[in-house]
Amino acid sequence: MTARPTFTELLDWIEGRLTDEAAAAVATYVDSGDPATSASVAWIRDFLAAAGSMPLSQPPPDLSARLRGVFDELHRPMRAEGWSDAWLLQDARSGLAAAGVRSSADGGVHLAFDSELGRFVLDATGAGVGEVDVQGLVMLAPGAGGVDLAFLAHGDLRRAVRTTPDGRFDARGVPLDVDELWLTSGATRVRATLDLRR
Amino acid sequence: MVTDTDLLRRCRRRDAEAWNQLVGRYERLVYTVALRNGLSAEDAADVTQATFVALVDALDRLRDDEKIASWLMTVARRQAWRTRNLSRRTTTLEAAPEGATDPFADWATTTALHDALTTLGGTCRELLVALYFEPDAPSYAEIAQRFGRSIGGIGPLRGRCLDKLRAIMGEEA
Repeated sequence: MTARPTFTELLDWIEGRLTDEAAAAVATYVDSGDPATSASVAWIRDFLAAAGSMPLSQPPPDLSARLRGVFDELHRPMRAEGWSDAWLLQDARSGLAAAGVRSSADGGVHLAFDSELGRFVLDATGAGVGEVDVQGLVMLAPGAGGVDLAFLAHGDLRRAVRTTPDGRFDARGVPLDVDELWLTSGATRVRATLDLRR
Repeated sequence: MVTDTDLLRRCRRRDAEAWNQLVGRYERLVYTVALRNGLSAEDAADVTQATFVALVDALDRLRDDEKIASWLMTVARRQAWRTRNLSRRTTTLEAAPEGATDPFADWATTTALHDALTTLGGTCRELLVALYFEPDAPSYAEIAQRFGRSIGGIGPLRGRCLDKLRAIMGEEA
């Protein structure tokens, strides 16, 4: 072969898709040391190695369905069916902190709720102007999996986060005008009224 | 074929169908990153869901829509680390899962490759993913049927697509 092999011919050669005669001709040209051809061969080999190092696994069908449902779950206006309200157990701002619940002396907002999903607590501390960082814990039953949380202001999604499998969550930069929190775990959906202002 | 940028734009307008397409394109990548960080199938599924929830959260703050692949991969890897650390606290040292070391020899190359595939987009992206990233290595006949093309056209097309991918990666390097 005297003509430079095309990129596709080089790919065919590396993948073993050429006839013996054609492969020998390509090999001869590659061995000639043409810099552009050598660069193409090196790039193809690197690509094949990188692609082969991480074949893509197919998620289980139920996960695919859940991922498609996440978008509606976090955005769709609350419907009456399947929802329940969380009830406030503790608000440190009220000065009625129960044993084990921090007071508001540190300037944050500390809330505790009970709900169909179990108890959950959250701490909000000042972040930027008009924002707070919210950390908390949903006390999940063992093996319950994570919970998706949506923070909303006047019905519009402001922040979304999923808890870790043990129920912890951390939402940074939550706007202070957030007035509602949705918690979703499978078919169980809980709504809590929030006031994060000190 | 609709670009990721278009899909993200539609997602910002709360278009659930655009979201479904985006999930379809990236669920395998995110799930694979989680699995390869040493998680069980159950934990990898949870990390995958957490990553897509993070995408909903970040839709209006993404800096570069064309880097959505590396963004998702990075979030998934961080979430996987977090889950793995939680798991370690509840298991004995002897039972610690394998894969505790970073399984990605060259993370920058891996993410750059998937970002370049995003930029490539369209049939070329789908073809290269099918040919080179699917674990069961489908035959040209299967690929031809899936893409509605002749078997003889698959080889040359994949060559042209790969050459385009190389050009994109060269531009971005």
